[in-house]
Amino acid sequence: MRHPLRNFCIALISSYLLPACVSIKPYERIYVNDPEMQMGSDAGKHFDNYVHSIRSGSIPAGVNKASGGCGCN
Amino acid sequence: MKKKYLIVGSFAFMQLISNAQVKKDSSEVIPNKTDIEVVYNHYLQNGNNSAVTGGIGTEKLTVYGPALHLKNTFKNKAILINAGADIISSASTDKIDYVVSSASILDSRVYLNGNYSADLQNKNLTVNGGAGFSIESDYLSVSGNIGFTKKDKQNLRSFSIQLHVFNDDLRWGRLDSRYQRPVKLIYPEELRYKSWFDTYKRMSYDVKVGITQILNKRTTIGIFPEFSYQKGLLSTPFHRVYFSDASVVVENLPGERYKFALALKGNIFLGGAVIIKNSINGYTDNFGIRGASFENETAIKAKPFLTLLPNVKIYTQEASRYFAPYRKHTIGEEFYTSDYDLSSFRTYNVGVGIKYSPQKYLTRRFLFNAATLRYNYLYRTNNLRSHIISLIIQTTRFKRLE
Repeated sequence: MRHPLRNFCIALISSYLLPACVSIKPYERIYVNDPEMQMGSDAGKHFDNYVHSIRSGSIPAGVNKASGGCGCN
Repeated sequence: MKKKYLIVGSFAFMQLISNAQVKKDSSEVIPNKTDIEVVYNHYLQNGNNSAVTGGIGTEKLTVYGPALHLKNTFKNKAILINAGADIISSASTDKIDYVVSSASILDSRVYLNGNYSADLQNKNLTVNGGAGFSIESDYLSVSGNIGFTKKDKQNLRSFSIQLHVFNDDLRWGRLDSRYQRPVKLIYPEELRYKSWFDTYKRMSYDVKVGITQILNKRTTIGIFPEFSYQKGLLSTPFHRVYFSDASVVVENLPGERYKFALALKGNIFLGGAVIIKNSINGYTDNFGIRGASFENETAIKAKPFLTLLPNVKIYTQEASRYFAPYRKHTIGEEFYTSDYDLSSFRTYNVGVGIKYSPQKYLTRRFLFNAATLRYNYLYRTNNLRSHIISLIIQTTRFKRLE
């Protein structure tokens, strides 16, 4: 519990490296197929991430860069 | 209430089964359709640390950003077009132009991106590639991208990799009616007595990796590492820096930058109608910036066709070693900037969205999918504040059946 971030990373990587231990049938995917459960984000969140990439010195990972531009205003 | 979700869930299930049957049938019935997304973004900002005036002065800014996203799907291929414009009213930009007059000046950014993707269904592989450009009065960015996504046979796991390359030209003059072509780098008005940089090019290479895994019926997780390398003119030529002796120069940053970012995401469909989406993000680069953020968005399906999207993001950043405030740099330093985007701060971003998704046919072939309105308030601890408003309208036009 002292290193929640590290433990989360280990759990996440392990879950990928180890074979999936559950088999989910198509008719059981109502929840994971819900549009809100997808990893992508809508255009509003894209713009929010674009603002983040300009108004901070960092880039958020796992999001699409909308386009080039100086963002210098 | 639960009965309604059961009906919607059953409908989704029936759709899933029908799609599965479509794939198996050799005489496939594949809809030729175009997804149309109309977007309007509005951005209002105020602060008092403009880099144009050396870390002091107004950062008042308004951006009006209409955009159009089209996705044309035919058989197992898709073409995506993203086009848009940002109309920018910036008080600080007024301090660099050749004509220093009004309290605010208008600038604009126009962009267009095209992408092509193809699903190789027998291999569970999607390949994609595209190109685009973005143009401003002081900036032209031309980009290309290529990548693929591979899924396992059960569709539980995916692996994707994307390479994005940007070739930027920072010369000014393209959108000026007197020139209509790139002329030269634009420096602050009083610093135009010499050329501060011998290059106007910037190259950026960006590699993104994405790994997602469905853990169980209600949980999906993902890990997203990203590496970026930039080379060329990384300084902004119209950013001033005031030294401790009150002399003024143009910002100067190294000509190479390595960035590494990592995001971990987890989405959980709780019982009832609540979906929790959490992500943590880490960042580091060779300018000395360290950043970390935690983000949560909770989707609350208040009604079958109405979803509330409250969200919060907390971000903390350690400053670049090249940053110092107004008149804190000393002569003799090799690199220097007073751009507060590269300073130490914490950011709080809180907002809410409302999504109305009736999935209603307006005509026989024209489907109204959803309308989403989002509002976010951003506060940065060095007193920068902004309001972010987005409206997204999603429709689909079915062209024909083959």
